[in-house]
Amino acid sequence: MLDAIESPSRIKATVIEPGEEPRLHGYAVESDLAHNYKSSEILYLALSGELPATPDISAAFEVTLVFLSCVGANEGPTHAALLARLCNAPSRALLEVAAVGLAERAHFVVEGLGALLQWLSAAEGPPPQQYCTADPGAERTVARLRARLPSSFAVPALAHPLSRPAAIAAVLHACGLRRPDQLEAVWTLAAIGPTFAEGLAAKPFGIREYPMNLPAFRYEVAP
Amino acid sequence: MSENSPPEIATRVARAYWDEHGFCGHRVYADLLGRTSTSGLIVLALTGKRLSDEECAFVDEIFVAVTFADPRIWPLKAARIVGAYGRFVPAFAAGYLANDIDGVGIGPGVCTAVSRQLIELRQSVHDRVDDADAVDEALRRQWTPESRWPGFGVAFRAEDERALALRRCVLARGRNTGMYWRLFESMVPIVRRERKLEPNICSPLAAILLDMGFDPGTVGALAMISFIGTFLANAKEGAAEPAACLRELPVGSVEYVGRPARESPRAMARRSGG
Repeated sequence: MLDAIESPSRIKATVIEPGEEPRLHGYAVESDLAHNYKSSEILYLALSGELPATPDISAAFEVTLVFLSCVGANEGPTHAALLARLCNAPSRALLEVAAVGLAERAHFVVEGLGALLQWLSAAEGPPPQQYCTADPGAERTVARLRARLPSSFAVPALAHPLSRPAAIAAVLHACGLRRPDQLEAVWTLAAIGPTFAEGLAAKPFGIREYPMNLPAFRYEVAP
Repeated sequence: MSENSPPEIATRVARAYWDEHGFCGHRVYADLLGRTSTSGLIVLALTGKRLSDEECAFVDEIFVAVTFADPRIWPLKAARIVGAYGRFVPAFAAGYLANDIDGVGIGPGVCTAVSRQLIELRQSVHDRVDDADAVDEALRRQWTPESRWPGFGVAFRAEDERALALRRCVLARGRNTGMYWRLFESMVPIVRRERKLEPNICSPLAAILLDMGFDPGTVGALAMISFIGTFLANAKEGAAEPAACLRELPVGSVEYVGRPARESPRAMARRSGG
C-alpha cells in the first residue's frame, strides 16, 4: 500500500542547513557564530529564529538559563535520573531519563503559567494573584534575579511580588521568548547538564543508601 | 502536606511480600499465575479489572487486528532511527513517545480524544443510538467546522482494513450490541454521506473499549498498548540490525527551506573594523 503513495524524495528542513559548514537560521555556524557568539545566544537563535537584538537581551537570557540550571534531587527529573543510576543504567540512559523528566516538568510548569503569559502580553493591571508570593525565600531569589539583570533592561513585571517561576517567565517574555513551546525548551535545556551530573554522581547499585520509603506507598487492595 | 508529616502515596498497584506479592488486589502466585493470560495481565495492570477468558480472547484479537507494523509508518520509523544507535529500549521508548498524542495526531493515542467525543455524542442522543436522525442532529451540533474528529479519515486508502478486521471480530463474538458500538455504526453512514470520510481504527477501537466499561484515559492507554507488537518488532530489529543510513542520511537528502544565508551583525562589525 505505502509503495503506491507519492512522496517527496527529500526531508524539508527550516532551521538547520546541513553541509560542510552548517548554517543555523542562515548563519554560518563555524566561521560566523562560533567566532562571534556565546552558546546561550546560539540557543536563543535556535528558539527564536533571530540573534538577540541587543546585548541586554543576550545578558538577561543568559541569566535566566543560569537561574534555571539547578533542579535538585528532590524534584522529579533529577530523582528519576538518580534512580536510573542506582539501576546501573549507562550514562546515555541517564541523559534520556533526565531529558524526559525535565521536558515533562517544563510542560507542567509552563502550562501552569498560562494566565501569567496572557497577563504579560496584555501588559496592564496587576498580575493574577496565583503568581504572587509573600514567601521570603522566593522574594530573595527574585531580588537576586533583578540584581543580575542589566540595569538598562526593563522588566516591568518584576515590580510585582512574583513567584520564582513567574519572575523567570517574565524575564524570558521581556527577552522575546513568549510561546509556551519556547519556554518549555528553555526550562528543559537549561537544566539538563546539572541534572545529568547529579544522576551520574549516584552510586550504581547503591540501593541500600536510597530512601525507599520517600515517599511511602500505602497499598490499598481494590474492593 | 506539612513540612513535618511524612509523605505517603496510596496505591492499588502492588506490594512486595515475602513468598507472595500483591498485584492490583490479587495474589500473584495464588490467584493470577496459571489463570491469567498476557492480555489479561495487561488489562488488569491498566484498569484494575480482571477479564473473563472470553474477554481476554477478544483483547487478543484486538491486539492482532490493529497490527500494522510497516517501518515506514512515522512513529515506527522514529523507533527505527533511534534504534539505529544500537539499543532496543530507547528505540521502543522513542517510538512510543513519538506517538504520545494529546488530542489530534497520528496514532492510537488519539483514542482518548475519540472516546471523549463518543461519550459527548452519546450524552446528546441518550438511548437513541440507533436513531439515525438523532445521531445526525447531534453530530451536526458537535462536529463544528472548528473541531477535529480524529476517529474518521483514512490515509492513502479508501478504508481502514484494521477497522474492517476489528468489525468482523466484534460481529463474530456478538459484541455489536453495546451502546457505543451501535452509536459508532449509526455514525458511519452519516459521516460517509456528509463528510466523505470513513472510520479509521481509532473509532471502532474506542467504541468497543468504552462498551467494555473503560474510561477515556484507559481507552487511550489500552489503545496505545494494543499496538505494542508493532513497536516491539521495529525497535528490536532496528536495534539488532542498526542501519547506518538511518543514523545519517546524505546531506543531499535534506531540502533546506529556511532563512537564506546571511552574516551576523558582529561578523559585519568585525569585517568593517567596528
